[in-house]
Amino acid sequence: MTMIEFFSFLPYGKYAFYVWLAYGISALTIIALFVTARRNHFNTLSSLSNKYSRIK
Amino acid sequence: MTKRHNRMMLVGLLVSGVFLAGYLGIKAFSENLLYFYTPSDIMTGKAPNDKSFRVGGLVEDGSVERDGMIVKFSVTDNLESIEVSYEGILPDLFREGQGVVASGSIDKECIKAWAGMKCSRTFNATQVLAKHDENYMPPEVAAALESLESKE
Amino acid sequence: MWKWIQRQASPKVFYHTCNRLVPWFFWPFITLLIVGLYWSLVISPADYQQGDGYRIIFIHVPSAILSMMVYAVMAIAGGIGLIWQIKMAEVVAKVSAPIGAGFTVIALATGAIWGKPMWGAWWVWDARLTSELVLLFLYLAYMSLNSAFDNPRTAAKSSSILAIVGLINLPIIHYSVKWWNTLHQGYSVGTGGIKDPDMQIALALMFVASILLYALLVTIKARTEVIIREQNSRWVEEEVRSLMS
Repeated sequence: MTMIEFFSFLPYGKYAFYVWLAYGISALTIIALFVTARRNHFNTLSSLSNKYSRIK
Repeated sequence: MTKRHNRMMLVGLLVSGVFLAGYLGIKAFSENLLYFYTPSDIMTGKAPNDKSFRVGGLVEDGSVERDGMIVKFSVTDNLESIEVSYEGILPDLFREGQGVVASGSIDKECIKAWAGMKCSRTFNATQVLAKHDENYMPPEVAAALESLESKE
Repeated sequence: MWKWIQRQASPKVFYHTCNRLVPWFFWPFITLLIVGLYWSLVISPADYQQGDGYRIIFIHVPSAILSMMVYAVMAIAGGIGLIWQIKMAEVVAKVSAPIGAGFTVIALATGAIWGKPMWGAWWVWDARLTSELVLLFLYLAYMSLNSAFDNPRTAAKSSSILAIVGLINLPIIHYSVKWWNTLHQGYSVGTGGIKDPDMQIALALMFVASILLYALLVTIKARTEVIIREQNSRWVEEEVRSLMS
């Protein structure tokens, strides 16, 4: 059984594998952008607050 | 002239210089960026003779012949056409009237004929890709468009 | 007018504007995304040639357009930073790069996944695909150049010049299907190639959703960048303290 047949239980029959793979990769890329943005923000905040408390 | 004007000039020069360089570059490399040649190009001798290249055009109506795994069909650009022979799996969109791009090389076969030599040229394809058009519509609309066309 | 721009471009005002804008981008984005996906995957009919396989278009085309639009914004913002020394334009340019790279990756990946069943190949070196790949490399070069300097101003200057030089690639991508014989088909958007009204609506919804996504990510990322750049000023210290308490 090939991948294409395996995924054909999903909507879109013989194109199910390709369509859902495309949507899946796009979703992952966008989620990755949000996750890195969020992580950067919190890393920045915590390192800066450490710096400020060291100075004082 | 203020400092800002200077910087503006600099950026402007940079942009126009880059665009000029880009234009010249594209002009120089135009040939290499051609993804495929048309059957007319082949007939007028623009396509390479000795090495492999790609030919693109429409699959001529009624030209597809299957013989086991070997498929033979003609590719046309509505001016000239060339026969293509291919062994392998064809993409989903391959059908008569569809745009295709085949890569491979030309086989020139010449047989002695009554008056000199008679040559036939076939393109031996190692890969056939389908080129789809920019139209998207449901099947009913496509059918309606087709019946409109046939009425005209 | 000039005064107003200068005021908006002060780091503190810019930071608070971004803060306020985030929900205004977030909720419309989520709404349009859900409606757009429903329209793309459920309401739109199957295509006459490609069946349901064509549905990849609803992400492929918007992300391909955005990959170019974001680059243009990045280069123009970089240029504004160079000419008028507006620091916040440098911030917008810098945070745009990873977002644009993301859109480029999506456009390339969905294009490859679409090409496999329809054309018969994941990748071909035709002018359209190659120039889009060059766009990805431009983004990567921009980002690495930007992170190569310790001083954010020097980094912004050199990377902005790179971005402006790379602008030449945008018309090449756009006209590639016209100038050269490519495997990639010609324009479907704006030429009446997409004939079904539901397909058009789905594409329009996904396109606007993509623009909102870009705006949202820029405002989110710009906040972080402003805090880093202005870390020695009084208001940032207060802001960080209040956020961390």
